[in-house]
Amino acid sequence: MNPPRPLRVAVQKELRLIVRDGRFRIALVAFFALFAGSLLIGLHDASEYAESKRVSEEIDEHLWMTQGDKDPHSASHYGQYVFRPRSGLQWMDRGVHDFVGVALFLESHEQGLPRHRQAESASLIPAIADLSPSRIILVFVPLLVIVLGFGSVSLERERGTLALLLGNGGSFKTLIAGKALALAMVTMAILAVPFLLGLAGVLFSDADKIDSVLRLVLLFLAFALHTLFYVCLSLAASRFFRHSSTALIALLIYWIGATLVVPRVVNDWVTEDIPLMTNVAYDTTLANARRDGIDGNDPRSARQARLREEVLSQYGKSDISELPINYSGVSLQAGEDYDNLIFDRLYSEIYGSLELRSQARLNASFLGPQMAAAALSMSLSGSDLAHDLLFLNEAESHRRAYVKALNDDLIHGEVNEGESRVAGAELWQKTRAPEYASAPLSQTSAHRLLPWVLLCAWFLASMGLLALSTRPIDLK
Amino acid sequence: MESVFRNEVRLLLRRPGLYGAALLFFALCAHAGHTGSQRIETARKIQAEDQARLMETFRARRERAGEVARGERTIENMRQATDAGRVNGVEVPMALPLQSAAGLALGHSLILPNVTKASLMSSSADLFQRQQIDDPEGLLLGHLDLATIVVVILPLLVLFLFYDLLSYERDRRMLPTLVTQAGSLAHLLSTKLLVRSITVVTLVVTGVLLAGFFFPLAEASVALPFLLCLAGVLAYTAFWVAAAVLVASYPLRRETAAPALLLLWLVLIVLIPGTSDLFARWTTDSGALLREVATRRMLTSEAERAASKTLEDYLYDHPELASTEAQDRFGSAFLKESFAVRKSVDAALMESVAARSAELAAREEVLGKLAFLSPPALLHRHFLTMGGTDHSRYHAYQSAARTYLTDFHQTLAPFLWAGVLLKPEDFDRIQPFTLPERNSFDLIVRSLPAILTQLLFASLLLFLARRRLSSYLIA
Repeated sequence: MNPPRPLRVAVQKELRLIVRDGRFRIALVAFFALFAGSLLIGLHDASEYAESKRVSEEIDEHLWMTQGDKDPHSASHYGQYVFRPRSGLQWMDRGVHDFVGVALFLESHEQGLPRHRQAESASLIPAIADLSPSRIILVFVPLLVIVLGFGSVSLERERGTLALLLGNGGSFKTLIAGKALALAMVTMAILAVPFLLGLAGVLFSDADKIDSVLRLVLLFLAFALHTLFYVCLSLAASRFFRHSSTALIALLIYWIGATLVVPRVVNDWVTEDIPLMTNVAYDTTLANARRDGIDGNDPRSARQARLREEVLSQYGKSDISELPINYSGVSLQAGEDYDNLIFDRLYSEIYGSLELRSQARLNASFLGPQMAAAALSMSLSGSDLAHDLLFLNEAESHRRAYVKALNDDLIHGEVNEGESRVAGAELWQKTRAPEYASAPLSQTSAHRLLPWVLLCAWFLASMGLLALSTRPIDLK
Repeated sequence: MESVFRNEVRLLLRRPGLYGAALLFFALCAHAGHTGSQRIETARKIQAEDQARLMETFRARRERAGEVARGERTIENMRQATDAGRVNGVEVPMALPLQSAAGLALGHSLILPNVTKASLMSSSADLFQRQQIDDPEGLLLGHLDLATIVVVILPLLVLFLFYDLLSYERDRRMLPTLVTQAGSLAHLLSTKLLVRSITVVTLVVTGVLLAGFFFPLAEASVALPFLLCLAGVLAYTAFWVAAAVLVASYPLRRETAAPALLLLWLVLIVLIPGTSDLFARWTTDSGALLREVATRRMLTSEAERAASKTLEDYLYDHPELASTEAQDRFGSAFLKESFAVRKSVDAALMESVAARSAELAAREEVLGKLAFLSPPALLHRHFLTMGGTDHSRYHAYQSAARTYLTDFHQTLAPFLWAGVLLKPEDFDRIQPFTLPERNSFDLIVRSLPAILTQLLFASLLLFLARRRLSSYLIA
């Protein structure tokens, strides 16, 4: 169904004005040049990383498989490296990638965190200078909208053209609707270009196409809602502020606050209010819990004596040398099981603090949609904390499983009298590290619910503001 | 002339939003000062805890080594030996001292590991790859330190006060009357400039001092960097004032002058540093770290597989050690092999690590030169240098730590090969790690390019403005 004629005329007139506007053309060229540069660098970076990850994984797997025959426990210390996966869309938003290590070493007795962070190679403080494609869309498209929208009503009023427009028979409501639709159409057309480029990139890449396309569609939906929020806000500011310069200054102050100031102030508060375990506290807690027990009343010697008693009574023997199994393997696995309990507590505290901080930052979305949109951008690009923690948890599950498999072999494996157990390629084959891929969209959807709700709420609020601005206006 | 001055003061004081803007600026500065000083205190406390733990172990082991030497303690196993003077039990912290002024600009020293340890088993290539519990989202978002406020917000304050320097009167067709009152356009402009400059400098200095209030300014190590930062801030303010004067020298309407200045803000603060960052990413191999891990793994694996051969090679290179092997009492073949393996892997890896490090330093130099295109980027670097959180100081720390580790290994390796325990006096011969610090003269010299360049830019803009103003259309 075609829109009513006065509205269509208003939209056509606005579109003509925008396209003829020299500021728009310059801004458009600057935006696409910046976006193209950022996109190229993002894709180059992603392909370089993917290739190096593939080579590094191959090397590590080859080394694991060819480590030769040895005691399974030695093999567990020989260890395996796993490398952080990147989603097919991480060229769009690198998120936390630079601040988390790229390689995680998995060995017995230790649950660790990845090391070798890209931030070591960073030059500038990224939050000031980072120009990833997503940041360009989230920061510069709103600015473009502000520049195009701040004078929509106020400039017409200042120049006296508003009375002329309304005198031609159109209502103020139609005029505002026409301006809003025209600005929305222009900005959506601008967003469509990066979307199509992204789509082409995904279709020609090796990434899981359905997952990546779905991510891309949702990502651009989030960008669209965020941009439309600014369309409504700019028009409302232009309607409510008498002077165009006041409208521009108010909108720019909001933009600077939302993009540069509020996220940092909120981060300052969150960092101060929600403490994170320090390396010293981690090491001390781990050492104490291992020595004195998790509750502080179960020393290592008591745990070892209890295990010995249990195993002997299970097999009905009175001495370890009479056991049909290798007791040192049992002891090692019991140590692992106990360590895992300690690690579960330690890491649930660490990850819990990180998630709390993340949540607290998201709560700042009541100040504007920026934080929610940025959180969705990172999440849909697969570069947020949730994806990071999923990788760490998966890697830790593998560590525990493979160390247990090696200890089981030590316990039950055949040994010649007076010799220690020696395992070989067959066991290494069974325990090799899987290739890690970024988590699929469905696995992290719960983390995105709140940002979506907040972003939609802000969009609806801005629509409400726009509706309010259609009330009759004083033409002087 | 006096009436023009009074009129300008009255207009400025009546300006809507001035008090709000000033209060907001003060609040942000106070917030930055408070959180910046707190963050540094916390970071120093954590660093001190980390160092204290290592030093406590060092002293306890020295103490026990004394008991063994005096015959008050016997050693029954390797663990006890490690705790009482065996060479692999000696660990010394190597920390990058966090300066109190670091809270002014949070940089590399706070993001990257600033404590590591020297031990016989420390690898030079791996020295800064400690496991670190961090909040990646927090690091990504960054903090609102004084440097960010000054770089990003201060220009907006200047623009808010100066964007209608002449256009306000021009739009209202009051300019000819005012020029007649003042005597000439130059007089009118200098009076207006004087009033607004006094206002903006008062606001800026008050804001910066408010932030400084949270730092121990009585300490010389904080006072000088703080004063140099303030000098940089004033030069930066002069630059933005000059930019506003240049824009005012064009007969623009207010609604055009404001976006023009904001465009300049956007280009200098976001686009030029952002493009520099894109350049840095383009020239950085994002797979280098992964390949380094894999190479290290491969080399270690090969060296371990041939551990006895590696040890032989090491002894072949160091014949003076081979003869002492027979004296081995507390060392084990395992320790010696591990040491030899690490040394051989280090030797093979250090070339690529040093090459990457040199590449980063070269890139940093290029970026440092590119910063001269943007006064904001220049001022940000100036703050980082004054706070001691800049890249070059971190680079210097890494080099010093590696040199210290080499000396440390040279001091302790003879004990490993001899297989003897260290005595307390051997512990005492180990010097603590210290990083040569920049002195006051060095700091002043380092601050000059940033300050002088800002002033040079300001002078150039004022010169251009003066030329334009000679043909300014008053009507």
